Amino acid sequence: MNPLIDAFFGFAPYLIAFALGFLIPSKRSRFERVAVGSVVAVSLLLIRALWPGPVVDAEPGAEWKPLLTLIVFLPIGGSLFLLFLPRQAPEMLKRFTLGILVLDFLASLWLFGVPWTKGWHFQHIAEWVPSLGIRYHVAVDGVSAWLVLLTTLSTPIAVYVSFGSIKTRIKDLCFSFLMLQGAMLGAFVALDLFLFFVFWELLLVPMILLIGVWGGVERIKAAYKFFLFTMVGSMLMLAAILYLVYTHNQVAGYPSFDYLALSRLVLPATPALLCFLGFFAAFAIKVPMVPVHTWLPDAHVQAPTGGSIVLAAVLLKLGTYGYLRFCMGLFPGPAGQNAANIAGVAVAGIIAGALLAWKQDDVKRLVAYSSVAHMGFVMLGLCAANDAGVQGSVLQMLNHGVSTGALFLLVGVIYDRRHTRLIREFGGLAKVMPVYTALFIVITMSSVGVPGTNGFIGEFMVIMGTFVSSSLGMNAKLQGTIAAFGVILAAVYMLMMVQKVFFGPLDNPKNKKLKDINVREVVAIAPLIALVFVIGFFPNLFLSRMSEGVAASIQRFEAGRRAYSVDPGRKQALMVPRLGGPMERGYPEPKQEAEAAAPPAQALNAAEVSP
Amino acid sequence: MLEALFPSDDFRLLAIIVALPLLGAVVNGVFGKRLGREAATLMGLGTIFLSFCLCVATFFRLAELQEGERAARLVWHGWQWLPLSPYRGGPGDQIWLEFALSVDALSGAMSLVVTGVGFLIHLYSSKYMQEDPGFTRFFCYLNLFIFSMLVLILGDSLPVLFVGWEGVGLCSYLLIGFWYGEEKNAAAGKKAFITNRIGDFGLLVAMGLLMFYVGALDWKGLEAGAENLLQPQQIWPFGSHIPFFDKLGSFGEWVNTPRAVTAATLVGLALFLGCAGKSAQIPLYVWLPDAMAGPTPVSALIHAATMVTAGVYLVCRMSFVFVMSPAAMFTVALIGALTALFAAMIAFAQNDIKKVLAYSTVSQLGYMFLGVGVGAFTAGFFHVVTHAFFKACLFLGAGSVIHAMHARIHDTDASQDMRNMGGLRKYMPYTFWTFAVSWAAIVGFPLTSGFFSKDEILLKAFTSGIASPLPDGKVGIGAREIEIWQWPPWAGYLLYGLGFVTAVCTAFYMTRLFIGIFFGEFRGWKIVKGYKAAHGHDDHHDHGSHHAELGLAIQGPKPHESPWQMWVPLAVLATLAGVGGFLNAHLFHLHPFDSWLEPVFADAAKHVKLVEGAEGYVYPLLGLAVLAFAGGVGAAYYVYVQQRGEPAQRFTEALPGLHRAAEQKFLVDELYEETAIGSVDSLADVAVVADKWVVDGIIARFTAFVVGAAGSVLRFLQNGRVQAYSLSMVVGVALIGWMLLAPRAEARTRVDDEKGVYSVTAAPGLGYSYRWDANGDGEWDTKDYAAANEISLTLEVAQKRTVSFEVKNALGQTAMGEVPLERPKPDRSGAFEPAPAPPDGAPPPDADAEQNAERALKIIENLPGIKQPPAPPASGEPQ
Amino acid sequence: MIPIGNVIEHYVLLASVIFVLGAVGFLVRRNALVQLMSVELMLNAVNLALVAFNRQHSSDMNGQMVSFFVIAVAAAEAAVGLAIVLSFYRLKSSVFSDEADSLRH
Repeated sequence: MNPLIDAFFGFAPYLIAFALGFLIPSKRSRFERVAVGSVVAVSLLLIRALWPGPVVDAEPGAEWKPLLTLIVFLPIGGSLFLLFLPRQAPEMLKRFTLGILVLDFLASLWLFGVPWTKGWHFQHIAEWVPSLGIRYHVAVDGVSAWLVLLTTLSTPIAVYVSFGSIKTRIKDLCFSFLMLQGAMLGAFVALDLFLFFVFWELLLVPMILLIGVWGGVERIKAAYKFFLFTMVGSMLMLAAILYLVYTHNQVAGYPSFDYLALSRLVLPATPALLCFLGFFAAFAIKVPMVPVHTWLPDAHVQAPTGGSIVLAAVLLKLGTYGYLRFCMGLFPGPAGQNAANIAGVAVAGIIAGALLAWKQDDVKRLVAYSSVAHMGFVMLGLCAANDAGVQGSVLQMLNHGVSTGALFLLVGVIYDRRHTRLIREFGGLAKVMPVYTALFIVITMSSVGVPGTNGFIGEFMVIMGTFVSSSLGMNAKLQGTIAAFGVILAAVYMLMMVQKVFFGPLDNPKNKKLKDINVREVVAIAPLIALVFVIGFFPNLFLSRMSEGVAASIQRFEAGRRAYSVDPGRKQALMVPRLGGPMERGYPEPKQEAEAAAPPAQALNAAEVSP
Repeated sequence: MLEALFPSDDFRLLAIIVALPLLGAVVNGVFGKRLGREAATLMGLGTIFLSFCLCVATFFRLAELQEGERAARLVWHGWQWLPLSPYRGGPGDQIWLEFALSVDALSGAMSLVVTGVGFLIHLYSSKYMQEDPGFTRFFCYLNLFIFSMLVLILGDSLPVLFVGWEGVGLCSYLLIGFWYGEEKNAAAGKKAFITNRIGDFGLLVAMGLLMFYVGALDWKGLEAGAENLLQPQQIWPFGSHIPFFDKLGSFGEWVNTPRAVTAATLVGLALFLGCAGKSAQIPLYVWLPDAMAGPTPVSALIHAATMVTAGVYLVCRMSFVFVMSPAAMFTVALIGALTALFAAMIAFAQNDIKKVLAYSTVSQLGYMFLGVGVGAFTAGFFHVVTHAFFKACLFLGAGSVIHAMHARIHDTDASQDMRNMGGLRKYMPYTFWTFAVSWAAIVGFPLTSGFFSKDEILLKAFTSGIASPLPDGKVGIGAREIEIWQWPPWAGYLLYGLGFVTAVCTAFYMTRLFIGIFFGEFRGWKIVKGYKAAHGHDDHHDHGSHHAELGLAIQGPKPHESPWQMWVPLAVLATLAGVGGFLNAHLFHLHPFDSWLEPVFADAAKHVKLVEGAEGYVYPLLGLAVLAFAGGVGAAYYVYVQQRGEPAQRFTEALPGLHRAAEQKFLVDELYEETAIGSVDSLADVAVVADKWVVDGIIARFTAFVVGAAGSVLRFLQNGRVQAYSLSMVVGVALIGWMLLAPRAEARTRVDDEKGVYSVTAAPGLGYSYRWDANGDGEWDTKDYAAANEISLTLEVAQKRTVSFEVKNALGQTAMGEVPLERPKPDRSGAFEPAPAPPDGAPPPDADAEQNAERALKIIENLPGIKQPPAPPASGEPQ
Repeated sequence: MIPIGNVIEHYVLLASVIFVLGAVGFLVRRNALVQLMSVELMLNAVNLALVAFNRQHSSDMNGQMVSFFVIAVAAAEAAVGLAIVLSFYRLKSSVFSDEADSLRH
C-alpha cells in the first residue's frame, strides 16, 4: 500500500484522540485546547505502547546499556549546567528545566520498549572504588522501572505547577528540582549500596531547600523535622550497610557493596535481625509508618505545592521500594519472620491515618494523613509477599503518586487563590468552580478507591493478597478485614472534606469571585486524570510488565527465607548461590575471574531453586 | 445473523450494551453544555433505548440457547484485568482475572428491567427536569448510573460486579446531592455513600474469604469450588489466643475457647452485609429515606426500581454459596422479615409522600430478602421485577403530584406533604388512574402483579427452608469438627407471621397515602401565606417560577395534569404493574418466569426443603393473603374515609409516645449517631491527641529534649579559654602516649585445624619485647625478652595447650597473656563452613566458590516445602 | 668538656626542658604575646631535637630539612599570630587570651 496511506492510518487514532481532547475544554484559549489535545494523544500513545502485543524475542543485548545513566545524569548534569545560566532570565531557566525534564521523561519511556522478562534490565556496571568494592552499578527490574517512570512523570508536573505559583529565586528552584529528580532516579536504579546511599542522602538537600526556602510560615521547623527524622534512619541503615560489607569481606574474602553480591549473604539470626532493623528504620520513616509519621504532615503543610507533589508522589515511594528491594531482598529471614508484625503496624497505620485525616481542618494536612493510610496498604501488600499483594503494592505506589500528587496539585490551586487551606473557609465552591470541582471529585474517588479508578485496583489486590498470604500466618484474614475496613474510613474523611469545601451554600463572600481552574493547572493535571482511568480499567498494561519482576523478587525472598532457616543456631554467615536470570551473573568478581566462572554460573542458573 | 455476528463464546453485544450508556454519560458530561438540552436529551434517551433494544435481542438469543434444564450463559471476555494469588501460591503463581461480562437467564431478565424501566424514567425526567440548570449534568449522571447498573448485572465475576456495585453507589451519591447548594442534600448523599461503603466492606471481605477458600472469583470458578466453603473457620479468638485472659482461670479459658463457624456462613454473612448496605436492610437501611432528597425520578429509578434491588440480585447470583449455610440464609430471611415490618411501622407515621414510599420500598425489599432467604429465589426475584414496575410507577406518580403541587406552593417540603393534598383525583386523572393501579398492586389486590409475587413469597416463607448441605450436619475433622447450624422447626411460623403482619400494614399505610393524596377535599388552597418565594435551593427553578406572581394574585394556580412525557411512562408502568403478575401466576399454572429462571437456581434448589404437605397450604394461605389485603385496606378506608381520620387522631392522642417514636423513625439515626459514629468519632479524637502528644511528644519532642539537655551540660566544657583547651589537649596527648607505651598482652591466633598448625601473633607496640611459653609447661622458653612476636606450633588431634607470653615495654613494665588452643576432632559432617579466607586477600578460587554454592543449593533443596505444588487449604485448619 | 657528636642525651634533655618550659608558659600565662613566645620556645625545642637526631642518623638530611620547614612555619605563625593579637587588641583593648571568649557557649 501507499506508505502515505499507511502513515495516515498509523496516525489517525492519535489525530482523532487529539481532536477529541481539543474539543473538551469549553470557552478556553487555543493553547489550552492544543495542550489538552496533546495530553489525550500522548495518553493514547502510552496505552498503545504498553498494550501487550506479540512478544518479540529481543536479544538482551538490544538494550542500550547507558540509558539508565543518561536518565539519571541528564537532570543532574542539567542542574550543574544551570548554574552557569544567568539568574536574570527566569523564562530561559524555566524552559531549560522543563526541557530537560521532558527529555528525561521521553528517555524513560524508552525503558518500556523491551520485553520485560524477569531479572535486571539495562544493567550498567563500572568500577568506582575497586579497593573497597564500590562500583557504579545501575539496573532496573519490573518494579523499579515503574517508579522511574512515575518520577519522570510527576517531577515535570510539579515543576510546571511551581512555575505558576512561585515567583522568587527561580534559578534556585530549577536547580533544586533538577537535582532532586536526578537523586530520586539514582536511588531507584542504584544496585550498589554505596551508590544508593549517596543518592538517598543527596535527595535530602534539594528537598530541604524546597521546603525551607519556598515553604509556608513554619518552613524551617518543618524542614528540620524532615531532615532529622530521615537522618536517624539513614544512619542506622549506613551502619547496617557497613556491617554487611564487612561480613562479605569475611566470608568471600573481598569487600563488596553490590546489592547482588550482598543478597547472597545469609547472616546469622541476631546480626541479621539488627541489620534488618537498621534498614527497616530508614524505610519505615520514609514510608512513613505509624508511629514515625509525624514529619509528613508538617512537611506537606509547609512545602510549596510542587514540593508536596514530589514528596507525596515519589519520595515516600523510596521507603516502600527500599523495603521491597533491600529489606526483603537482603534480609529475607527477618523480613519473613516479622512480616505479620510489620503488617500489623501497617494496618494500624491504615486505620490511624484515616482517623487522623478525618479530624484535620487543613486540607493539605488531611491529604498528608491520607497518605499515611495509603502507604499502609502498600506496606501490607509487601508483607503479604505473594504475587497479588506485591503487585498490588507496586501498583498502589503508582496510584498513590498519581492521586495524591493530583490532590496536592488541586489543593495548591485554591491555595494560590485564597492563601488558605482551612476547610471552614470554604463551602459551596462547586457553584463558582465547576470544572475544578469535577476534577477534584474524580481524584477524590480515585483516592477513596472507587472501582474504575486506579485506587481500587491497588487496594483490592493488596486486600486479596493479604487474605491468601501465607507469610502473615493466622492473622492474614484479620488483617485483611481491618484493611478493608479502612476503605470505609477513606470514604468518610474524603467525602467530609468534599462536602464541606464544595457543597452547601456559598456563604463566604471571599469565595464568590473565585476563578475556575486555569490553563496551566488543567494541562498539569490532565495526564494524572488520564492515568486514573487508564490504570483503573487497564491495570494489566502495568501489571503484566511488572509481574515477572515481582515474581522474581518474591522467589528470591522465598529462597532466602529457606536458606536462612536451615540452621537457626548458626553463628556464621554463609553465601547462598545466585538465583534468577542471566542478569544476576557478572557481578563483583574481578574480570578475569568472572570470565572463568561463567560456565558454572550458568549451570547454577539452570538449577533454580524454585521453578 | 445475530449468531454470526456475536458468537456465544465471544458475545460482544454485551460490551455494546454496556458501552452505550457510558458513551451517553461521557458526551453529556463533557460536551453537554454545548450540545444544548435537545441534543443532550437525545443522547441520554437514545443510548438507553438502544441498549434496551440490544438487551431484548440478547434475551431472545438466550431463549434460543436455553432448553429445559440447561442454563445458557453468553460471555464476552473483555481483557485481562488484574492478577490474583491463590492460597499459598508460590512466586509467579497467579490467576488473571478477566474484565468479562456474561449474561444468563437471571441477568438477562434483570437487564431488561433496568434498561426498560430506566428508559421510561429517562423519558419522564426529560420533562420533569426541563427547567433545571443542571439538566445535562443530570442526564450524565443518569446514564452513568445505567452503565454502572449494567456492569453490576452483567459482570462475570465478583470484582467486575463490584465495579458496578460501587459505581451505582457513586451515582446515587452524586444524584442525591444533585442540588448540592443545600447542605441537607449533600449530607444525605454522603450518608448514602458511606452507608453503602459499610456494605461494600462486607463484600470485600467476602471476596477475600472466597479467594482463600475457593480460589476463584468468577461465577464459573465459584460454582465449581463452592463445596470448599464447607470448612470450619475459627472466628474467636483472633490469632491463637487472647493474651491477657490466659491468666484469668476458668473465665479466661472460656474466653479463649476457640469458636468456629463454617466458612460458608462467614462468606454468606459478609455478602449479606453488602446486600444490606445496598438494599437498605436492617441495620443499614437509614440512608434510603434520606436519599429522597434527590430529584424524584432518581428516587424512582435508583432508590426504588433498580439499584436497591441489587442486593437481592446478588443473593440470587450467589445462591449456590448462600445455600451452603443454613445460618446465613436464616439471617437473610429473618433480617428481611424484620426490616419489612419495621419499615412498615415507620411508614404509618410519615406525612411526606416520598418518605412513605421510601419506607415502603425498604419494607418491600425486606419481602424480597424474606423470599430469597427461605430459598424461594424465583419468588424473591419475581418480586424484584413486579416491584420495579409498581414502585417506579408510584414514585413517578408522586413526582407528578409534587410537580403539580410545587407549581402552586413553591416549597419543596410542603409540596411533598400529604396533609396539603387531597382530592387531586379531579385535577390529575392520568396520574390518579396509574397511581391507583400501582396502589392495587402493592397492597395485593387479587390478580395484580403484587398479589402474585407477594403471595408466592408468603407461601414459601411458610413452607420452605434450607436443609443442611451435608447429610450428617458436621464439617471438619477431629477436634475441629463443628456442627452446621440447622433451621429451627418454628422458623416457618415466625417468618410467615412477620410477613403476614407486614402485608396488613402495607395495605393500611398505602391506602392511607392513596386516600390522602387523591380523595377528599384539596387542602392545598389554604397554603398561601406560608408560600415562600425564596427556594430552598437557589438554582432550582425547576417548575415554572413564572407562577410566582400569579400565585400571590389568585392564590396559586390549580394543580394540573403533567405533560405526555410524564404520564406516558406512568401508563406503561401501570399496565405492567397491573398485568405483569401473569408472568408467574402459579394459581393459574402460568409460570414462564419460573421456568425461565429454573436452570439458574438448579444447584441451589437442591438444598431447599419443603415442609410436608406443602401443596396443601396453597389455598389456605391464599385466603389469608386476600384477608390481609382486605383487612388493611378496609381498616384504612374506615379510618380515613368514613371517620375522616378521627380514629388515627385518637390513637395518636392515646399513645403519643409511640406515634412520636414512629414519626421520628424510632430514633435509629440518633442511636447510630450516639453509638457507632460517636465511638469512631471519639476514637478519632483520641488518635489526634495521641498523635500530637504521645507520638510526636515522645518521638520528636522528648528526643529533642534529651539531645538539648545533653548539649547544655556539655557546653559548660566550652568555656572559651585557650588555656583550658590546650590543657585538655596536653592531657589527651599524654593519655595517648601512655596507651602507646603501656604493655598490652593481646594475641591473634591463626588456625589450620586440618594440618594442626597453629600460629600465635602477639600485638605489636612501641618498644615491645616478648618472651614465650610455647610448650605450655609453665616455664618461659627463654628467660630474656626478644623482639619475636610470633610463634607457631603443631598440635595432635584433640590435643589442648595453653600458650602464654609476656610483653615488656620500653619502660620495663610487663604484662602477661594466655592463649588456649585445641585441635578439634575431624568430625564436621553437615556443618556448613564458609570457604576459608584465601591468603593475601585474593578472591577465592573457582573450585571453592562452586563447591560452596553447590552445598548451599543442596541444603536449600532438601528443605521441606520446596518444589511441592501449592497445597490446597488444609481442611479444618482454623485461622 | 663533653664531646659533641657522640652523646645525644644532653641535647634531648635540653630540648625537653625547653619544650616543657614553653608548654607550661603557654598554659599558665594569659598574655597572648607571651603565649606566642612560648609557642616559639616549643618549636625551637623541636628544632633542636630534630637536628640532634639528624646527627645521630647522619645518612640523610631529613632532620635538618624538616627543621627548616619548622623555622619557616614558625615565622609564618609569628606573623599571623601577631596580626591576630594586634586586631584583637584593637577590638578589646587587651591582649589577654581569656578575654577572647566570644566562642564560649
